[in-house]
Amino acid sequence: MSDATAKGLLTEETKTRIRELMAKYPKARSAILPALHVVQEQLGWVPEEAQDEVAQMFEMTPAEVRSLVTFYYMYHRKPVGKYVLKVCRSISCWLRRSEDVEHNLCEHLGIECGETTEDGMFTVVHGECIAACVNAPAIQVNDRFLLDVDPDNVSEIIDRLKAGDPRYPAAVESWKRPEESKGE
Amino acid sequence: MADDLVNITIDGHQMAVPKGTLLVEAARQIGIEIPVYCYHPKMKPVGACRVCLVEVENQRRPMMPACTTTVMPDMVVHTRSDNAVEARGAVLEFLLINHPLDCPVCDRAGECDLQDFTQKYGNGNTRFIEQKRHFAKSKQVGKNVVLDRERCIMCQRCVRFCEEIAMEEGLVIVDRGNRSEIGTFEGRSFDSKFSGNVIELCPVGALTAKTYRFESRPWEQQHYAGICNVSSLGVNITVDVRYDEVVRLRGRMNDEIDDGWLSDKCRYSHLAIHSDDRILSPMVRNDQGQLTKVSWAAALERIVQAFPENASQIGLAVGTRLSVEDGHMLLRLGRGLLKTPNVVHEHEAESLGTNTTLTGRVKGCDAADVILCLGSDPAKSHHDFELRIKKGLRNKARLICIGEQPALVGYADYQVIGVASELWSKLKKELKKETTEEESGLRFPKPRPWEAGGETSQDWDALVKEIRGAENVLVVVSGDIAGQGLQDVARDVEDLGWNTAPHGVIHLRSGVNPVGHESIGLIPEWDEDGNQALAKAWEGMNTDSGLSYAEMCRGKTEMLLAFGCNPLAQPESKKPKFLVQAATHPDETTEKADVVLPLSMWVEYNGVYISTDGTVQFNRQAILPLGEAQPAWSIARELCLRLGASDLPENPRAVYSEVGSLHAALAGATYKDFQTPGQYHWSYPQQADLGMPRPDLSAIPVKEPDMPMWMPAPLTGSTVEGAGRLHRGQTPPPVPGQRDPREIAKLLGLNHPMDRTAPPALTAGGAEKKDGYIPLRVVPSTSAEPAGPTPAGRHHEIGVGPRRRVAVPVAQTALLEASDAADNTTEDGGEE
Amino acid sequence: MSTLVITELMDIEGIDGIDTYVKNKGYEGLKKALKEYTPDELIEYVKASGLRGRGGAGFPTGLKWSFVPKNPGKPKYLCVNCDESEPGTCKDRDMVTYLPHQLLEGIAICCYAVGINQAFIYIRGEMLEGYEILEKAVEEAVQRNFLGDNILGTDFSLDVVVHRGAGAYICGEESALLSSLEGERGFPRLKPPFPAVEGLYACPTVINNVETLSTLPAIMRKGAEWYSSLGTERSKGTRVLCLSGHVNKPGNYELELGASMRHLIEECGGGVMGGELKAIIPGGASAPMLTKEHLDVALDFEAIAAAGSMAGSGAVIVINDKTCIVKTCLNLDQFFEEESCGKCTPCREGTKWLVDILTRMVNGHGRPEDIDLLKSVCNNILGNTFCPLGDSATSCIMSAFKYFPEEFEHYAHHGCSILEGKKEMAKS
Repeated sequence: MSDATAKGLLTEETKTRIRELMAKYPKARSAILPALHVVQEQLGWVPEEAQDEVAQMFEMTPAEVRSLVTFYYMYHRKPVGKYVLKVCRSISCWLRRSEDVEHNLCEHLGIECGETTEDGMFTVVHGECIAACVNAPAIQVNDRFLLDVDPDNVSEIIDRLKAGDPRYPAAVESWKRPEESKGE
Repeated sequence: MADDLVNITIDGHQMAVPKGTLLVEAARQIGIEIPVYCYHPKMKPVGACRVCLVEVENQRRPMMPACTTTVMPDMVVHTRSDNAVEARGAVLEFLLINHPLDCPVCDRAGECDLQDFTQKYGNGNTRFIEQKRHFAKSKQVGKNVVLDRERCIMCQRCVRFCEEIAMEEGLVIVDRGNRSEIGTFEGRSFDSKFSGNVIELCPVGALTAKTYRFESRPWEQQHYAGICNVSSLGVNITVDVRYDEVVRLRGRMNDEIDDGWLSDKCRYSHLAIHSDDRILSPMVRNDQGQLTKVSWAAALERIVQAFPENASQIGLAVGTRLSVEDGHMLLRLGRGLLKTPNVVHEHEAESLGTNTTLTGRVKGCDAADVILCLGSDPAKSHHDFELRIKKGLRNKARLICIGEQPALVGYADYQVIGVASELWSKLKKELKKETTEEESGLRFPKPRPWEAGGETSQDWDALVKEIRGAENVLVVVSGDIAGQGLQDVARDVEDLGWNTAPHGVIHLRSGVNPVGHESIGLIPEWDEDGNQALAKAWEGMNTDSGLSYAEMCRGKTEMLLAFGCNPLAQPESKKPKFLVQAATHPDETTEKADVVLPLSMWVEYNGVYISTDGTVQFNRQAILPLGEAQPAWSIARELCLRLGASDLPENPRAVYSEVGSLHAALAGATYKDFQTPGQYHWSYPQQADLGMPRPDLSAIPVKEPDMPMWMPAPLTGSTVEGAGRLHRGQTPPPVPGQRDPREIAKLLGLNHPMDRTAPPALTAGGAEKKDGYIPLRVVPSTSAEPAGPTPAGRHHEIGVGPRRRVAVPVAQTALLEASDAADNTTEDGGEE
Repeated sequence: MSTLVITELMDIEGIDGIDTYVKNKGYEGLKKALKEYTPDELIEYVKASGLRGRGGAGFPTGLKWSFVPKNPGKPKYLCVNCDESEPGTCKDRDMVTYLPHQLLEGIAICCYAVGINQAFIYIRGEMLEGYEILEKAVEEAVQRNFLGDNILGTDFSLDVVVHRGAGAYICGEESALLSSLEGERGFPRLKPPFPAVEGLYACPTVINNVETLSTLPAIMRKGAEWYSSLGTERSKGTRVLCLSGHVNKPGNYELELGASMRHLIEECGGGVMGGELKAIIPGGASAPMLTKEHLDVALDFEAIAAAGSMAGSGAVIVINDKTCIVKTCLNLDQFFEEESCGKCTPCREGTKWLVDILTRMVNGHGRPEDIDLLKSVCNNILGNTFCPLGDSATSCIMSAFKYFPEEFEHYAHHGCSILEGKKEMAKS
């Protein structure tokens, strides 16, 4: 263990958080997915060295951890940009031009979907339904929602992100009850 | 009818099967084949591949996987209905769309479940015109395991083996969906003591062995039932031979011992057979101190001349890799003719004496509550036993390790490191104390040591409590237990009342066949009372107690004959005045021996081996001895002849019969004891045979029952190599113990292919379906005698050939059929 | 205005905080359950309310709870399925984000009824905000003793853990959710044993959807009888319907079961956007399509089933007549292909094949025989897979063939969409 700490990627804080997670479950192994989220939070992605360290903490085999990291698509298996723009491409967003959102974003940034800009700022990926169907098309920036995106004005998103507004995208937008014409 | 039986109907056949039986097993019992890929009887069913879908009446989802569905009362199952046939065809089509169809260069072709089931149940054409999924070919994932991801059908057998059976780091599934592939942790090799099993489990050619890649086609092989010659567990193996060369060893299911698995240590032990450094001719040390090749006659003459006047100055050391027959003939040579008391096997020091009863069995792990490993580590010396312990752990057993730091440390529920004998006497005392404490109530099952969060406890009191609460305890000791101060363990266990077979003590012996050698008296102390028959038969034999193996190694005798052992590797060893060694490979002793004789390896002759828990098993000759090598029994016999003996048994069969008539421990033993058909490893296409009714062959007379399996070539110095190899077209030597395959066919109401006088009638439907289709012509055999495969290949014990076309299992028929087919092709210029 | 059960409080400013929630009769239902009912009575009460699971199958909730053994000698668990990933569905996200305490109250009621002391909320990884909000809510609730040890002075204790998934649709399948929660790959498991007997850690487990549990507080407050008076004969109560796609006002609308599709789309959603109505997917991406002829079908479990589709997750996706149905099928199947776990053959290989064929057709290389091939591949997947995911991948194609066969024919014969008019086949 001391060896791993010496040259490990994970900070002591990350490890403490993982240990806290492990304590929450009757069987520690249950905490593996949340733990990998913590790792990704620290490193931005889940490199193999980190998988190995996590395996040690969980007394799992590194191969098992790799198997999990590759099964769950939220874990990045290669380094990503500071902002990961996940464009939903599932049906509700697709019906409302998510393809254009993706295309325009990529064109604006000069990358292909799945790539990262050279300055390491933006990665565009496509995602399956992100549960924002009534606000389609929607994208997620580092797991925070940007709803009702205008496909023709994606540059605004990039500009605002570049400007570095810490409240953008907002944590939660306030609830708006969709207006209903009349009840029965 | 008993309550635990359930009535079901499969394809119109009514049957009663025990509750909880899986449909696939129920169908197998009445000989209905349901194809499977992911299912394996030794692993938990997963229902992943879906090829076993059958139609069950009155279900919400009528297509049910036979491998995960248990029988329900009055279930009506159809395996041949339109829906079932369609579903099966659909699954096979799905499996093939991304399969590379590179059968011509695939090692598994010919024994591939995907090939076979596609042929039987597949659609016969492809509708897939899209791009196939591609991976880089053949990726080496382990030392000897090569993976071809394109061929993989994701049955997960290998992954489940690593996780469930070996319970250690191994192969996993990487990614998901149709991007799934088998892999390891990036850059890490899959190196397990049991890695070879995944190759055998793989139903297709995705996992192959580096040692076997492109070496052989399955239809060129004969399969022989053998016994592992690496450990004393008596693990059952299949020896696969191609043109008199052993190309691979596979597991052979024996539920009592190996459970179908095989450790790599044994699996790759065949590499030594054809290794370059095999000793293949007799050698005598010349005046310059160099070993020079001589004829057998010269070598034997040299030995006979060297026998000292004083018989007690001769020592015979017998390696435990030799068979019971070898031991018996060497005993005859030593005690009977040379009249020396010094005939021992190399591990006699570990012997607990014949008076000790050990009730523990390998299979005792399965139902044990506690497996107590005492002293040295069994997993280090007996790899195959490790898997059995793990099976026990999965069932219910707790593993307690006392003594050494075990290799099984990650699996031990309790572990105390220290001097085993001291800890054992402490434990004994505490267990004998009366106690009134009650077990506490139900608690959340703690994770086991190999699970996340689980740990190995070192709490002595908890350990004692655990043992106290156990009903079945299996105490595992291994190696030299006297040296570990545990010589009384058997008596202690009896006192504790644990001696109920298959539980009690199991002593894992070093070597291969020490128990066999002990049962015929290859130990220093001679039991006169127990061996009166022998004394009567071998008039004037020496019945004194002799030297121990260690003493022999220290040069206590003038002359030492070492058969299959390496005395000069022992500590404080000293070369005696005259040293003879019969060996397979050169070692320390060979370097100094005066005469070196080439010894056959275990696959080169028939022999009986007794496993560490007392299972008597037969190992069949698979190839002819290499070079001029001879088995030890034959060398001993030759020396006996030169010492003036006559009436000596001429072959292993006869030797073993003599063992049966002379040794009390094996009274009445003959080769007929081994005529029960052996089971083949499950993962092969012949899997359907298991559990199917086997014909009773006892009515058919055995042809030439006493003819030796292998006629020892006259020891004249001429090489036997040329005579040994069989070439195509050459008539094989007569096969002993062979029932006429045509008789068997007749018994089963089948046409034996040899009896065909006209081209076989293809099924009416098949022949008429296509216009202009010319059925294959089978040329009837002109010879009256069936031209079969090489020796032993036809023996009914051997199992079945590479492919079966008839529904009823007849080992010989299928084998002949297959080999004929193979012969036909090659003669027609099919060979490249 | 339809009677609101689940979203009644959602308008209130700051309702995600515990103070506001308690001020608005929050946790009254739990108090009532603990004070006035024994666990068994509570199960009967929920049975009487007629509440059915909102996850998709519509299984009666009270009945599901009653399958859990009373004294199994092992712990019992509740898993809250908040792995909402069905395309078209986003109601759980709102319920978790805006009314976390209502969910927690529902969880507490359920656990009290079944005798559970440990609940897990499996929230999908993409809902980072929901996760944070729930974590905070749990903390607040424990502080106020609505959760934790000896809740409100009784001997009932409950620990709630919010568990974050990591991006796998299949984990919404209840047994895959259990695998995932145990730290395994999210492969569905064999049933039997059913989760009620052997679920999480091989212990009896109840798995309920967020919407189901969020309904419980209101039922407790207002009475089972009141609840069962809502809705239709067999589908009681209300349902939150996610209206998305080509409508003018997409949104989550809570309607009494039995309201018609027309009501939802025209009254609530303000009509179809950008054209005429072409198709409706009434229960999330897994449900077969319906057409404008079905506008008057009531949005309850039975009526939709009778119309040849399923109520599923309650997501109504509206498709206008400017949309190519073949491309829609391709989009839907791309989802299932991406999310297939790969365990069983028909789903793993079949979804890929469907996507391959549809892609080829959309790219103008369709062949006449592709029509039969698509049907046949769908047929070969249908009913042969381990879990319903494979079946779901076929429902859009099969229903599209039923209502819009000409669109496929056009692609097969002319290499382009029927919307683009007849073009020469783009074939060399």
